[in-house]
Formats: sequence, structure tokens, C-alpha cells
Amino acid sequence: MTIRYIFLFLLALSCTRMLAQDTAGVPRKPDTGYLVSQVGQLEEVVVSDGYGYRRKLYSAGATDHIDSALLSRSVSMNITGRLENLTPGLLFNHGDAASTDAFLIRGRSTIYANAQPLIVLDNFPYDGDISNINPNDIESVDVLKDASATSIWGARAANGVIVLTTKKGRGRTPQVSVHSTVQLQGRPDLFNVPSVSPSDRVTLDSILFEKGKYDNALGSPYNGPANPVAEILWQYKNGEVSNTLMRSALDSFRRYDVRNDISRYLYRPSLFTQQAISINGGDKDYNYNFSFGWDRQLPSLEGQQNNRITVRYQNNVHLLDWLHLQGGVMYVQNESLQGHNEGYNLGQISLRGLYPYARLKNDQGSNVPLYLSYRKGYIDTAGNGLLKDWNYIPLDDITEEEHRQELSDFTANAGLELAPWKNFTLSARYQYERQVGTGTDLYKEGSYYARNLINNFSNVNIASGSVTYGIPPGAIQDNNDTYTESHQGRFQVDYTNAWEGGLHRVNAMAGYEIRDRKVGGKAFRYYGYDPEYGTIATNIDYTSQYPRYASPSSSSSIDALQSATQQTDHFLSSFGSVDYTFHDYLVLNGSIRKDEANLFGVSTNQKGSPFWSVGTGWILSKTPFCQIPWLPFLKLRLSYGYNGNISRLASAYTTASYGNAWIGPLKSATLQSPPNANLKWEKVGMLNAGLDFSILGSRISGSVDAYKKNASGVMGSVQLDPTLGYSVISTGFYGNVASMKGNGIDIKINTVNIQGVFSWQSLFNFSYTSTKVTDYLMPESSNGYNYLASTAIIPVKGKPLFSVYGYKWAGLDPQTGMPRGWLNGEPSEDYTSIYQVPLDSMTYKGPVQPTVYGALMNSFAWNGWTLSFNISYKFGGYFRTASMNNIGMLNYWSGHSDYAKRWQKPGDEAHTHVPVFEYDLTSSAKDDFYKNADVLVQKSDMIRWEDLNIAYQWPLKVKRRMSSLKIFVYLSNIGLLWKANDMGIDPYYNGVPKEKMACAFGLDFKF
Amino acid sequence: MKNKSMIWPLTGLVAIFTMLTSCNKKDFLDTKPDISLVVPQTLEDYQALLDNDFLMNGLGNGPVGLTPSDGEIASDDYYIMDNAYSTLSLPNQNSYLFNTGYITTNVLSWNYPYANIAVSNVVLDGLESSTRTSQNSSQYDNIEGSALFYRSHMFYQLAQLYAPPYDASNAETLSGIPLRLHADINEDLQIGSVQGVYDRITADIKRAIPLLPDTALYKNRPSKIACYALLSRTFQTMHLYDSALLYADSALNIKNALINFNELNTSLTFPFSQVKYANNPEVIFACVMLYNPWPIIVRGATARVDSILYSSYGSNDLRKGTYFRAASPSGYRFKGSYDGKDYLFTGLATDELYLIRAECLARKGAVVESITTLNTLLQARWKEGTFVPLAALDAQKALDLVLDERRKELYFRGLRWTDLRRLNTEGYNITLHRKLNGEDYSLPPNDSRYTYPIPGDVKGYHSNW
Repeated sequence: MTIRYIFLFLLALSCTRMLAQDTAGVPRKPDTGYLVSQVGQLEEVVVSDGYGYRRKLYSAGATDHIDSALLSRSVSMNITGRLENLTPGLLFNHGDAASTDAFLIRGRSTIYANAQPLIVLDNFPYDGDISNINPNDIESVDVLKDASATSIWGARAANGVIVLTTKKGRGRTPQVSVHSTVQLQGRPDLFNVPSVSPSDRVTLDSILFEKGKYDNALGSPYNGPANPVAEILWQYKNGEVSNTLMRSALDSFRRYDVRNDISRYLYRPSLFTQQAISINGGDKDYNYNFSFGWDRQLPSLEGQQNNRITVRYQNNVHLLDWLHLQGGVMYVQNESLQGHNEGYNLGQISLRGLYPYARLKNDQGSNVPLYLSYRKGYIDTAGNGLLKDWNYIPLDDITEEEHRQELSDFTANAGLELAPWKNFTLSARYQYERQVGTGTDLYKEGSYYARNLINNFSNVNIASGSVTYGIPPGAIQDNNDTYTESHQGRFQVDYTNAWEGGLHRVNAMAGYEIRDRKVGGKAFRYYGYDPEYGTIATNIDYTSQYPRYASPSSSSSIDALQSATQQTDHFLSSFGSVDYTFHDYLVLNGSIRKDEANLFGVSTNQKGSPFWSVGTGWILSKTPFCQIPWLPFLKLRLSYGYNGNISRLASAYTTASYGNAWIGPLKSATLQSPPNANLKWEKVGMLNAGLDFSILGSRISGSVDAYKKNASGVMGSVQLDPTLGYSVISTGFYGNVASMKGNGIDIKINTVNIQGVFSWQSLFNFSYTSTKVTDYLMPESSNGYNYLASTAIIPVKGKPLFSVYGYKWAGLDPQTGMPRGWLNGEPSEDYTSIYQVPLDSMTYKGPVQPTVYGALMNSFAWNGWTLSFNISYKFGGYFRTASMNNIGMLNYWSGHSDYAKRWQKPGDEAHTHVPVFEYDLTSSAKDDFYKNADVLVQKSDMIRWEDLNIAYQWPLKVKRRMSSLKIFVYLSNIGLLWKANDMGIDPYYNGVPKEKMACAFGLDFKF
Repeated sequence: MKNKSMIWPLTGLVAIFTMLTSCNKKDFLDTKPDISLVVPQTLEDYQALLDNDFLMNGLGNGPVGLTPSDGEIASDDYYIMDNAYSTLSLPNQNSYLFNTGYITTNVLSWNYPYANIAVSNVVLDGLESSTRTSQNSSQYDNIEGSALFYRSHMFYQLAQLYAPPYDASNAETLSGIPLRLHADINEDLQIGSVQGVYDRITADIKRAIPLLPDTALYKNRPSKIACYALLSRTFQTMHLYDSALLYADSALNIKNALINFNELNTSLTFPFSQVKYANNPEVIFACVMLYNPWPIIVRGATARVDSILYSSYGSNDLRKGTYFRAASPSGYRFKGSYDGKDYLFTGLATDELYLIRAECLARKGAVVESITTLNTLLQARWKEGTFVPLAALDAQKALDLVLDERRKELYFRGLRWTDLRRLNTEGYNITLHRKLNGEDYSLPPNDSRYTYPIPGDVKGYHSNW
């Protein structure tokens, strides 16, 4: 089948080339896709939905068109990053909320399914990694929001659709565009991570030493590790160091802060360069676009780099007035490399965390080891020198690991358009894509990871001085190969006609589509690997149990780390749409689509109802009897329809697993999941009402949309009727059992405040979104603590999917400084009981994601100079902040800076909510209550200055061609203007290093 | 010019359209979405599903069991010590005191049989899309017959708890149990009449008979003889004694072996060989009673045999020492399961067929034949040389003797509850009594509590049941 596809593609391409030469003199069809929107000229905008182009004026859908001028205003490696703050309804989450949904359109209407909008590149959904697409290749982006605009995409469109339209060839003479950008960004601010001060920690560790907390670790070389304070006090106690030496050591610890070392040696200023060149041209029958892009990123973590090369070639031929061919290829090579650099997380995953007074280099400037897992005394003597060096030196280790990810993506497309009869166009399109990823994680022989693993699987015979290795010495490499391969084909008929001099106009379309996508991969590990000669140790015993050298009482087997996966999506779809325009002012849109897929149940494929939408638009300002003089343009829109969402969690198939029967030598199989012939997509209905307007001679224009969403058949985990027979296998199955509701408002307003030589324009976006789970057929847990993980999926009826709850806070006990919650209406310190209160006894603070968001962009222009800046705002979201963890500070070596703000004497409760610190190792209930108390939940409301762009453009004439040179400076991540919380936390950087402002310089040259 | 240049593009269009439509649509949409899924679709897969003896027979190491225990728990063959009562789960406590109307959730006596039925349905639905050929016919038939047998067996077991006792006079009008007959979880489940349930059971077993071999290689697998034995038991439950006799004879014609208890080492903790080793010649089809929720009453450690019943075994009756041993601090506990372990065997065995045959013969007045059949069984149960053959003057005496021996032979085989329902329907007037902490509890004959209610969580899905 693949061969057939490729043959077809080659055929199409060769036709294009061959016929391009001898078809002069035929008038070219207008390419409507290139029109650029200008403020105040809404009616000229052309929107692509992936199946065709439609003038926005005659569309009933809620769509937004972002043109290349806006897209190229910001600097980023990925196209998605450039859409932020430009259109209402499209939310990008940052900070804690980013782990819920990175970006989404009009709120989340699914529980377990993917909530990301469908990305369409020209005509087909893009199956590769979105970061493969070079933003410089994109001419415009259409964001489709309501059912009327999206439901032609059916089962995959409930999250909205983002259509990327690539640059096409145009013009008669070849035009060359060169684009070059350099972006610099300072080291992130590590002091934004709230860490207990080294001095406080040294004092605390001295006290803990006195209390005997470190006795176990210090008593035996096997137990351990111990931090430097404990080590020096132990040496002093044993008379190995003098009092003076001990005191001066402790004093010197107090002066170090490891964040200085981490910032200095693990981070660097980051650099991003982007070079792009494109050539496009042709004649009136043939055009082409060739582009090449090279992006290079040196991120702020030492040892990291990313490189991307993109090559694209696209051509179109108008062979005859009724025949149009197109073909193109795109190739992307994406490479990223990382060393072993955990950045600010250094040592956090080790046994006890990292003490704040650690150092990465000594006074002489050499890299020093950290004793996070084993004590120095143990490392120096273990194995009598026969083992590999067991020291962990973080700065040396950076280059001892190489984590490389190489991705190559090849996309080819071919299309053919025929107009054999009047009013009809037949077209066939095909796209092939193959993305191959090669991931290697190389732990060199000298890496701590390899040495530690080899040592632990070693057996040392001290008498004979020999070592037997479970894992052969050498490097270790994890290999992770992935691939995505897809074929998409489409056959489409378009019909256009007008009657009575344009009184009635009809554009209709129908088609059939096939889609086959495979995603797979395999992972495997090399032991005893020699990267230089490619030799691999093969005689590994994966079944035997080996005692671990450092803890001989426990044993484990060597992990083979092998796996293989493959997933297949098969879709067959048929679709159609009709646009009817009456008298140029009344618009009716309708669409219908039926999807069948191997992800659905049999009866859904056979009988499932299709997706549909209807929409109507009424352009009042063109209606003869409705002219309003001060309102040069007014259009009302109303649409309703359905879209779907697909989840891979549920299976329509009977599945089973194999084992052995108890009787005899029989093989036995156990059912795992029931057959579900009715398994289907999640269905989201959307009602949208909107208006587009312009007033004051088009000085003010914009659109307002209000919508309601109703999601049914949302995938959820359910308990089945035991009579169905599956309750003894599992307590939950995924099925179409939940419902969600949402509503919101999108407003976009353009204003031309000053017109003339000096001009000032503003673009204002406002979005309100609220969604909640309305029905969920699963018993709610009686314990509220199950709902505390605010970014995990734990649906509660009547609440947004991601919500922040907290225990009701009753303040600190004025006498003891103990935290108090509420139990049976009284302040209480019975933490175990408070911890188990039901959800309705807890405070519901609100959603994790903001409900109100938008941006205001102002642009000024004067004599070739332009200056623009964007200010964004977000309201309505909540996040949980960390604080002192009492038992954590006793058991670990790190801690939160709130330790300094703890209650210490009566009266302190007036200005702090951090509880008293006590030496109590018995229960974590107090900490569990305090860290989830509502007093630690903050609003994430904020206003940010996002960016600033200053550019100057020279009009040039090179060899009589229109040319131009533009240079620009672009500042981004400028900073917070206002935030709601009074804890000094930037919600984008809660407990993580704060990114600095980035500064980019660039030039665009066209000739 | 125009015509000529249209050839290429039109060819292309036709090629694309042909390609789009020529793919086999069903295969295309039936492709597994994930290779890690094991989707049962071959005869080997189906056989393996049925050979899951944990679910289909309740067997295994530390199994949960299969056949409902709630009937045995409310029966009269045993009692428990007062202090053991408080250690029981609430549903067990209620069943013990005949409060069988107690509605609870997660009822294993319901859930496990229906899990077993789901497997049979997956297999039976799957067979519809497999082709029976001359090469695979015996394998295909065996799978189909086995699935029908397993499902009928479960419907029978469920009917003993959740359907009212069978009585031809009202079987058409009273509600039975839901008959789940398809694999799809969207099946519309309804409850029909008691008659419908028994008709389905007998019809399906009869369908299975020609598909199965006379006997099975492994005790977990169904066979013709198992079908005959189960049909015989079913017709007995329906008071259709002529039919019960017919099928008991059909079964015994294939196999009539009995264990001579004189050859057993009765001092063992478990005198019978484990079904796993297939050494017990009487076992036709193996399965065990549900053993959870822990601790369940009807197990050796907790239950004490009813003292009157215990004393009714003759001193030379070897069953006395084979079935029971002295318990601490007093009384006697059961150790004689044909499962060969602590789990209660509730499968099919030849001794039950001898007793059905004897009962049916007595009921039709064949006194001599009836007593001869009974004596053949008892001969194998008594100490060598001590057994004095029984004799009866009339049919009623013969029947009484057979029913006495039936209770003594089939102790803790999950049959007493059905017998109580059946005999009381025929006017035997057996009232059950319990004594706990000085209080008396009783269950009069034909009480509505002889039918268990549908579990609460199941009701939640079907408000009309």
C-alpha cells in the first residue's frame, strides 16, 4: 500500500515539473489564501479550515486570523509560542497550571482525553512534533473556535482547531527573504527558590547532632550518609579535630550558599539564534517556495544544546484553467543534547536532599565531590581499592553523560485539482509523513551513574584481589527509538454557483478521507558499551539476583530495560458542507461529518450519528433596511453543532492476558476488559453567538462572542454493573460516562487611536472561560485528602476539573504555635482526624487555570519606525505555595525558607502562619495538614509586561525590485506589573528559578 | 489538446479514488489500536479463556471459589460457636441468622458466577466470527459445548439463591434471574420468569451434549457425563424425577465408579486426593464454593457439624471419620471435601448420581431398585464386613431412607439449601433453627427468605428489577 502511495506522489510531482514548462498563456486562478488582514478591514480576511478557504465575512463561525506580520513580531523557535496573547479564547498556561494543559481553546471539555487543539498544517492534521515546524514558514494561522468553524473535523475537533497555512510561491520575479535573529537571556534567578538559609541549617544540624539524629548514620560506615555539619561534629566528638577547627568549619559553612555555586557553574546565559532564508517566485502559471531554516539554542543549563534544520519546497502549477497541481516536501532534522546537569534540582532526588551550605568547587578552584549517598569514609575504603571510584563530583559529571535526541521528519504532499465541468472542482490530496526519533542516553564509563551501578553489582574477593562483575565495566547506553508514520488521503468535490446576479450564492463541498497512522518505538539498553568501537557486552545475566554491594542485605536483578510499542489509528471519514449567501447579507453555513475508526466500537462505526453544525450570519450593515450611519459594519452570528474528542484509554475490544491454569499443563487466559461495541468519541455541543463590528469610520472594530459548551459521553473511569461480569477483574473501566459544561466570552477589539504619519493602534483581547464537571458516575471518596493534588485528574461533580482545595485554617495556637484546623466547628489540633475530613468540610479555593485572561497590545508607527508592546493579564486561578515542613527538615538536609518565619514565642502568631518547629519524628500528620491548609493557597492573578518590539524598516530598491531591510530589537519576559498574592511570588515561577528578561536582535532582508 | 492532457490527471484521480475505496473497510477498522492488547480471536484463545480454572471452576492456590456460598451459610447442617459469630462479616452474620433479606453490595455469590458467565459469552460470541472447518471441528465443538455448559451451570447455581424455589404452578409468573447471553456490556438485561431460566438451562445443556466428549481429560473441563449429571440435578430441582432418573442413568452408564472408603487413610487432615491430581474416581466436574469474604462460616475451622446429624452416622460408617474430626474446644468439624483441601467441593460426582437415581426410583415406586442403588453406594462407605444392606417396605420408607442418606453423603456440597427449598415446596415442612447468645432464630418452610434479594449495587443499575 505504501508503494502505491509513493508512486502516486511521484507521479503528481513529475506531472507538476513536466507540464510546468509548456502551459504559458493561461490565466491564473486567484489565490485567495494570501490576503493579509488589516485593522478595520475584517471583511477582507480569508480563513482556512484545512478543506478550503472562506471569506471571513461570509462565515458564521467564530474564527480568528493571525497574519504573518503579527506572527513575526515575536521571537521563538516554535510556532505555538508566537500565538500567545494574540487571540481571545486561546489560553497558554504557565507556572503550576502548565502541568494541567499547556495551551487550550475555550477551556477544557474532557477529563482524560487529550485536550490539545487539533493542529492542521495546510490541508491535513500534522502528526509530527509541533516543534518541528519552522515559524518562518508560516504565512498565517487561523484559530477555529466554535462548532460551525470546526465540526468539519468531526471526532477530533472538540478542543478547537489551529490551522497553519504555509507560505506559498507568488509574484513573478523570484524574491529572496533572509531572516536572522539572535536572542540572549541572563542566568535564571536561583534565589527565587525558597531555601532555608545556610546559617539556620547549620544551627539546626548542630542541634540535631546533639539530639542524636545522626548517630545511626555516623555509627556505621554502611549506614549513612551524613551531612558535613554532622561529620565535623562527629570528628570533634571523637577528638579528631580541635574545637577551633570545628568552629571555623561551621562558620565557613554558614557563609556558603550552594545556590551561588549552582548558578555560577551549572547555569549560563542562554543564547538562541535563528536563521531562515526563503526564495519564492514563479510566473503566472507556476510558482514555488523554497525555504531553509537553521535554529540553534544554547539553553541556560550547562551542557545543553538544541539544533534544528528545516528544508521545505512547495510548488503549484496551473496547467490549464481547469487543472491545478501541487506538490511539496518538508524535511526537518532536530537534535538536542544534554549532559548530566540537574540544575537547581541538584541532589534533591538523592536520599536526603542537598544541604544549602554545599559547595561545588573548593577554595583552590577544583571540582569537589558531594557525599549524598555514601559517606566519604565508606567510599575511601570500600572494596579495598578494587572497585570503581565511587565519588560523585557534580561538575565533572556534566560531560560524563550525553542525552541525545535526534528527530527527523519527512513530509510529502501532492494534490490535484480539476475543473472539468462548470461550477465543479474535483480534487485529490495525499500526504505522507514519517518522523523517526533516535534517543540515546549515554552514561560514559566515568559517569557516576555507570560507576555506581557497576559497583553495586560487583562482588569483591579481597583475599585474591579479584572482582566479579554482574554488570561488565564500561559505558551504559539506553536507546529509545520512536517512529510515527502516517498516510492521509482525501477526495473532494467542490461546487460553486450564483444565481440572479449574485442574489443567491452557494459554495458546497463533499468528500471522503482515509487516514492511517502508526506510532511505535522500542527501547533497549547496552551494558559494557564502548562508544568508540561500538562493542557491547552480551553475556549479561538478567535473571539472577545480586546482592547490592552498598547494602548487602538487599538484592536485585539487572534491569534489561527493553520494550516495544506500536499504536495504530485508522480513520475513514466522509464529510460535506454548504455555504449559502442571500443578497450578500444573509449567510447560512452547514456541515456534516461521519468518522469511523478502529478506536470506536463496532456499533458506533455502523450506526453512530454524524457530527454536524449549522450557523447563520446576518450582515446588518449590508442589509438595505437596516443601515445605521454610525455603524459602517455590523454582523451578527449564531451557530450550533457537535464535535468529538478521542481517548485511547478505553478499548472497544475484548482484551485478555495469558497465564497458567492450576489444573494440568493447561494455558489459561484471563479477561482484562470487556468488549464495548458502543464505545464512541466524547461529544461536545457548542452554541455560539457573536457579533463583528466596526465604528467611527473603522477606527474601532472588533468582535464579541459568547458560547456555551455541553460535553456528553465524556470518558471516565466507572464501576460496571457486577452482572456484566467484570467487577471481579477491576474496579474501574473507561467508558462514556461523564458530562461537562462550559461557557465563556471572547472579545477582541482593534482601535486606531491616532492616524497619520504618526499612528497608534491598540489590540485588546478579553476571554472568560468556565468549565466544570456536571456528571461523573463514580462514587466520590469520603476523604477530602484524595482531592488535594490540584493538577491531578480527580473529577468532582460541580467543580472545574483542576481545582485547588485546602483544609480550613484556624490560625496558630497563641500559646504553643501549633497549627490549628477546624473539626466539628471548633479549632482543633487533632491532625489525624482533620486530615480525614470529607471534601465538603474543606475550603474550595477555585480553579487552577485562570478564568479571565487576555492582553492589550499597543503599536506606534512613525516614518519607518514601529514600537509595540504587549501587556497580558490573568485572573481567577489559584496555586498552592510551599512552606516549612517540620518532619521534612528533620529527616532531610534541605528545607524551606519559611523556617526563618516560624512561630517562636507567643505573639508571633500575629504576623506569621508558619507553625512552631519541634523535634518530633513520630508523625507527619501536622505537616500533612499544614502544607494543605487553605492559608497556603494563593491567587495567581497578575498583570505582566510580556514584551516590547522596536523596529526600523528601510525601503530599498535593488535592481528595480521591491526590497526592504528591517532591523528590530525584541524584549520578552519583561516582568510582573502587578500580582494578587502578597508573598512575593511570581505565579509563573512558584518555587522554581525565575527566568530573566530575554533580549533579541534581528534583521529581515527582502530583495 | 484538452482531451489529451486530461488523461494523466484523470488517471491520478481514478487511482486515488480506487485506492481509497479498495481497502477492505472491515479489516481496516478492525485493526488493533495497540499491539500490547491481547484480543482473543483464535480457538486457542477461547480454549485458554475456558481453561481459566480460577474463574471457571473456582480452583487454584488460595482461590476465591466460584459457586454461591450464601445458601449453604443459611442451611441447617452446621452451627457456629457464639464467640465465632462476631468475627464474621456482616453479610455472613445476616445469612447465618436467616436474615437473608439483608441488602448489601459487592456480593461475591452474585459477582463471581456472572464473571464466569461473561467468559462463556465472550467465547460464544467469538465463535460466531470463527469458521468451523473439518480440521477444527472437534476443537470448535468442544469449546462451544464447554461454554454452554459453564454458563448453564452458573445460571443453575444463581437460580438456587436469587430465583424462588421452582414450582410448576407458579414458575411462569414468578421472576427468575437475569440471563446474560452476550458479551457486549451494552446488552439490555431483563429478568424473565423462573420457567424461562430453567428452560434456558436445560435447553443449553442439551445443546452442549452432542458437542462434548464422553469424559474430559481434565477435571475442570466439561464433558457429556457432566452435562448428564447437571441435567439430572436440574430436573431433580424442578421435581421432574423421571427426567432426572433418565439423565442420572445416562451419566452412570458412562461412569459409575465409587471410592471404597476402606481404602482411604481417614487419619489424614484431608483424606481425599486433590482434584488437581485427578485421583478421585467419583469426580466428574470440579468446582468449589466461594471462600470469601474472609472469614467465611462454612469452612472447617469455624463450622461445627450439627450434633444430631453427626450422631446419625453409624459407628461403622466410615464417613463419620472421613468427613469429620474433633474440634476444639468441642464439637466436630468438616474435613471431607472432594477438593482435597479446606475448600468446599461443589462440583459433580457419581455419589450424587447414585442418590438422585435412588430417590427418583423410590418416587416412582421402584422400591427394590431404589434400595439396591442406595446399598451399592453405602457398601463403599461402611467398614468392610459391617454393612447390613438396608431394606424398605414401601416407597415412602425407601424415599425417607434415601433422603436421610443424601444429607449424610452430600455434606457441605452446596446442595442442602436447594434440597430444603425443594422438599419444603413438596410439603416436607422443615423449619430451620439457630441459637445465638441464648436467642432463638428460625426459618419456617417456604418463607420468602428462601430467595435472596438482588444485591444493592446491582439494583442501582436496574431500578426496574
